Amino acid sequence: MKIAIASGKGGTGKTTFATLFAHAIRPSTYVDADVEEPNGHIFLKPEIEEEKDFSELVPKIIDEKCTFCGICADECPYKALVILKPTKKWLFFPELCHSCGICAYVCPVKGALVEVPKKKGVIRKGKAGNIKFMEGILNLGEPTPVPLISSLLREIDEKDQNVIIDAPPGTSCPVVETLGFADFVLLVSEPTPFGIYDLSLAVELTRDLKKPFAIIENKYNPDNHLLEDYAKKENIDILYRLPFEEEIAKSYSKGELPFERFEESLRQLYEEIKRRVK
Amino acid sequence: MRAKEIVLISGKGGTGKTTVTSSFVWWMHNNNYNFVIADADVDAADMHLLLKPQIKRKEYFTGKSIAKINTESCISCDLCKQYCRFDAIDIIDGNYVVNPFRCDGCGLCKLVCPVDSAIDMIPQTVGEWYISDTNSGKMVHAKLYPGAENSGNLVTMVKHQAHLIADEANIPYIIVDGPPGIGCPVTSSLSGASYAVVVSEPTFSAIHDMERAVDTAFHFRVPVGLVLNKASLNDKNAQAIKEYAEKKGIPFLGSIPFSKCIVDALVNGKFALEGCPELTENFEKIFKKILEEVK
Amino acid sequence: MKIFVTSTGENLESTVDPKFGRCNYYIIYDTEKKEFEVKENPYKTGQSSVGISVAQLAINNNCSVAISVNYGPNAFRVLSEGGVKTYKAKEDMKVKDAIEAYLKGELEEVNNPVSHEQAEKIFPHHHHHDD
Repeated sequence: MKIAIASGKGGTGKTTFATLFAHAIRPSTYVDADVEEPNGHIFLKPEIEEEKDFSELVPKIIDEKCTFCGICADECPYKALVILKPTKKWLFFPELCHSCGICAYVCPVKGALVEVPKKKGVIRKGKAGNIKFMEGILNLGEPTPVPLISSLLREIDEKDQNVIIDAPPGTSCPVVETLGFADFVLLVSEPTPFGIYDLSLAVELTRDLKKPFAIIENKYNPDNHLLEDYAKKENIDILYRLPFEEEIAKSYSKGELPFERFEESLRQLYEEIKRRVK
Repeated sequence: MRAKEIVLISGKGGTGKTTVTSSFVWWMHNNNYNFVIADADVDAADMHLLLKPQIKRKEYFTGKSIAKINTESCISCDLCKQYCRFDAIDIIDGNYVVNPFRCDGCGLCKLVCPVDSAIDMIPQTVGEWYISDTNSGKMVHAKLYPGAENSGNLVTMVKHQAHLIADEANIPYIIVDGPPGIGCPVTSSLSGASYAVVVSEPTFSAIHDMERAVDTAFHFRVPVGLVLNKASLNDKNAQAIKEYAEKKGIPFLGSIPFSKCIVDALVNGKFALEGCPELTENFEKIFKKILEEVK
Repeated sequence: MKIFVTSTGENLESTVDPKFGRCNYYIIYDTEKKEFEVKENPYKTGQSSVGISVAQLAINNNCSVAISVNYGPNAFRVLSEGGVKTYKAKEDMKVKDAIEAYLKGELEEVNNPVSHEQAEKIFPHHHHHDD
């Protein structure tokens, strides 16, 4: 089973929960799909055993063959190519290129524009005890993380049983891509008006995608019923609560987490989710 | 004179960027400053929860176009599916269908399609933006629909509208609650800004992202200052952040301790500074310094 | 020689628009004929890479000099590859004063807003939004 851990906004404790959970249900697989800011490694401290480049095709113009007709630049939907006809120069802006392949398709001169692979990030695999660890790291400035996320999640082995996917924050395309791979979604939120508003956006999206889901309440304070009231109103279950404690925040700040403390209850949570997915 | 645009960013989400921004707005209002508020955190705009804006104008925001296959004219030649680099074309019940979440809108499918009218590129409405009245002045804010992309462009639009309001009424400041992360929306929020305030916290993950946020501001030649939130969580990391500021030659604007009071204030729908008068000195020092820096 | 100036308004009395890619208008001044033409910037509210497009306007209109205040890295790269020299006007300078200052050799030439190497170092591969 694959469970995605998501949240409407950053900083709600998504990675804290995802790493605690992956640790509790080991042997497990933890996949960090938050490829713009992968932080899971800070807490799981894996040994990396394998690293491979993630590349996509980008255009390269062969000066001797190019007639500087400018069709590639005119047709490029992202304006990543500029052809300066007067000076017979071409400019390529790799950070604008989405690797769609239109330039190569429209070029009228055979061999004048070829596509070459460009490294856009890496996929790393390793182990933290008996947790299998996988993460994607996107190069700074790449226009979209979606292809890397897609490639990373396709590397999840069919044999991997207890898979926890740490999703990117927010509710945009990269999250949609990630949730598409999940059998169940846990939305981590906190009981503040900000937290609940952002959660409501994530709920809207998860419902659109028709994925079964539930809420994890972080920074839980028994005197505060904001999140509980929201969940009741929306008829969503809160399946687990992590308390609001300065101690947890302090250990987090050092890159540590109280893994043993929540182990037993998180295993029970996993059993509950299994029942729901069946 | 063009209004001074002060943008608050954080790198990592959850460091208290919006908490600081909203308290800044509250403090400036109480001290009779004139300003326009821009909520550029369009993926998860939260300022309206505190500022309770009354919407005066609402506009739809159009993002990229995405492909749509006209089933009637489609001859199932499969070319679009073979050429699409985004794996965005599915066959559902024997029909070729575009997955709108995966389609990047490049239009290659339309180019390769041998049938004239089988594929159309349809512009998508991806969000809304608003101009509102609040107790503290005019506010421009937006909502990006869940699952949509292109938030960088919506950020540009929000800031553009805020400048139009400021230009017209000769308002000297624009306070921008920036987006989290270090991606495209953040670069849009920094582009053309007068000053960037990076709100960080003394945790490993936040420090890493703070450095990336500062570098982004440097790249756009926007002067930058640092605010340390939840400072008391980890003395060692707090010290490291101060040393980082010194090494980089950027002003350390001040710090705010880790405080349950701030959480309680937010829970009760109050500005952090409003709910925690004991933190007045911390906040005031930061805000005065920001205004000094942008002079 | 033709000079490309970003302008907030429609004549030489207007101030230089500080944002290159998102300027309101652009003015092309012909130093031989002492005439100018003004056009609205079609990319002003464009969604992305507007700097690249405006830089191409300068090149396609055979301008050899550009005057603005802030050039984005992408726009700068296109201008310099296209053989257009870039100069920096003072903020709030009138277009006619900026042109005069340039002709007297009083404007600062922008050699690189952020050098490519420098940009790569502080922010690899990211020159995305150039205004």
